[in-house]
Amino acid sequence: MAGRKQVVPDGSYVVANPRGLPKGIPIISWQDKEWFEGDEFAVPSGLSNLKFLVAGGYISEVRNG
Amino acid sequence: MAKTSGLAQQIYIHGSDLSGDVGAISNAGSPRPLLDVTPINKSAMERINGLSDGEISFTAYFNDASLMAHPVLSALPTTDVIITWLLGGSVGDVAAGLVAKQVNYDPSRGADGSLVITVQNLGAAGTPLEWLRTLSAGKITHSSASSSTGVDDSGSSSKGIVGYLQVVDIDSGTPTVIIQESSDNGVGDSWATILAFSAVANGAEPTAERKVATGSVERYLRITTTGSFSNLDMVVAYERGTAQDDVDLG
Repeated sequence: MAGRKQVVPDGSYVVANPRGLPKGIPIISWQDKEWFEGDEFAVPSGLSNLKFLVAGGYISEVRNG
Repeated sequence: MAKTSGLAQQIYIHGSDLSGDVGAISNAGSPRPLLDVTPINKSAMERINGLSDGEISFTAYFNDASLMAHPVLSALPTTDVIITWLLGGSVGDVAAGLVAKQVNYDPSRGADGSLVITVQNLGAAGTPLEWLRTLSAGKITHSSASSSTGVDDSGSSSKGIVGYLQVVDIDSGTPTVIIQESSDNGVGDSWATILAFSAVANGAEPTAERKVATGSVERYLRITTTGSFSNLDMVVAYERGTAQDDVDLG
């Protein structure tokens, strides 16, 4: 997933890197999935800490306009 | 958590496992000198804290095998050495960590035929001796990229975290060790990476690193390894920052 160019629609989320971790380090992990900086974050069914991830700067909502 | 003896301990010196060569820890401390600031209008002493320090000193037995006491300690490196002393081999056991300069390597041969070496290590990086908790059950092996079981600290914290990593051995590849946080052990809440140690290539071990992350830290923590590698032997310990820390972790 890392490094791939993506077209991310408005209202979806992109993974950020609030702690300045090196490239190639997974920012978020859940079950068997990993997300890296720049990945689109399609909120998985059952995930309950979306607010924490937004507040902590781990993901940011896309606003292209 | 209860009264315990000093049995079955471990010590790692910048990635070298010297647990089988060290016979006694003679001093592990963080002394705080007091500065006299008593003014003339007082009838008793006033004192404030001066600079914190750190020390881990021990006695080792002579062992000239590869990566054991003599080759590791007699090198007397001029660079900092990172020491982790584990008071037990289970997850959550107390440990002490120090970034230090090794001061000496002083063998003595007793009249009874004994051959022991005294070694003193003094704090060298602007941080005192730090009391930690083990995040690994002593020295553990990740055979490939994976995650260890989460550790429950019973609550979150807000003053940062310090992590100590000892990389003892790697069979192949370049692993990276990270510490991740979650509020519910990854059940409904995802794990987020809070701290990443530097990648270590096979051949660069033994080595060690101390890293700090600031801000809030969730209730559960776990070790995750990433990258392509085989059989990483490591020790990870950590401590959450508190308002009482001599050096603020933020």
